[in-house]
Amino acid sequence: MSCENVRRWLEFDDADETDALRVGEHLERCVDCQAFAAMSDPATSLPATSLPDDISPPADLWPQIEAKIQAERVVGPTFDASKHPGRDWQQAASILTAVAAIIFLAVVIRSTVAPVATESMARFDEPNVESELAAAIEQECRGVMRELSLAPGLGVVDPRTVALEAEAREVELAIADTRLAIERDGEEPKMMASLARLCRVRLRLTEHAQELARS
Amino acid sequence: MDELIEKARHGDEVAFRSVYEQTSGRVYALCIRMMKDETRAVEMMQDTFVRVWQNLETYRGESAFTTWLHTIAINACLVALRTQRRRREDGMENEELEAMTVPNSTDPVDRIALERAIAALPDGARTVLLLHDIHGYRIDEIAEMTSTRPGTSKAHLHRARKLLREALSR
Repeated sequence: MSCENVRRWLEFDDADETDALRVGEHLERCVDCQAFAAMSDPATSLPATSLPDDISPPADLWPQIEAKIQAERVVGPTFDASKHPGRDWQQAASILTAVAAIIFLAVVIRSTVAPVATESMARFDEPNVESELAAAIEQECRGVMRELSLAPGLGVVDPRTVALEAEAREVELAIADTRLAIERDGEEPKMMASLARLCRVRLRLTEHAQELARS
Repeated sequence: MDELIEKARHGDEVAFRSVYEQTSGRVYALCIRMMKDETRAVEMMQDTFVRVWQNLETYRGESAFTTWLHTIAINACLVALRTQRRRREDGMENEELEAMTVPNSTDPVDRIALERAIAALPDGARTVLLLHDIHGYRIDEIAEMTSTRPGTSKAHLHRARKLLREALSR
């Protein structure tokens, strides 16, 4: 960039701001343009320093911020279920998203293949605990629902618990679908990975239900 | 302050309010000069402090808390200004500059003239000028806050000061 262009850029308020980098590079090496910019003249170059850097905001601003935080279910960064029940719901929402993706995969698999019983899944050990986990999910979710419905002042069941219970059932269905596909096609790595993911999701749901029950 | 921030990081809303009370004046000064409009400045304050609350866990203490806070405020303002500029380009009028007043003036005539001259600066130049001359940040800090290179910030500062001097000498 030429000195002329740099000086025009410095003087005209409608100059293209995206040229700032090139102007900066020029100013770094051009003494004449540095002088033109008059950076070193304290008498004229720093009028803004006289302005206050602290201006009291309107008194009613904090209540607005507080209301916004609460309205958006914003919670603190460290999870504490007893202090921040909204965070439970956020965690559940992220789990639900993962579950939805996996269910979609399982449905696609089921719709494209016919179930045919084949060999067992001896090499895959996670499904060995499936029935135990499923029972735990059911028990935990129902226990939480019962506790919530019996608690004073709580006439309705916590929607988070309902969602957990529903998702546990969906995961069970997805696991069953995936197992059918595996039985038909054999232990294909992708299918086995999907089954493992489903089992892990179900485990997380169980843990989450337990956490919810404790809180 | 560090103790309050730590408490706020753990979800203590009372501590967060104290953090707000200690820092809001400087953030508001930044927002009102960036936005050139008190209503918009209040909106930016809301956005900034809600974002701060949401993202406190990402603050690692590597920079001063006020630097981190001001970076969030500046970025919120710059995004809003870009949106505002696009709307203006679509034909909407902007009367905010004329209406702008900044409270707490001790020398009303000069200060208002100065505030208006700053408000008339292009966004990039105004941002750097505010951060450097009013809030005392260094060029390298400003470059980091605005995700630009130091040379860019320097150029903006040169330009801001030059335009400001010219505006005040008229």
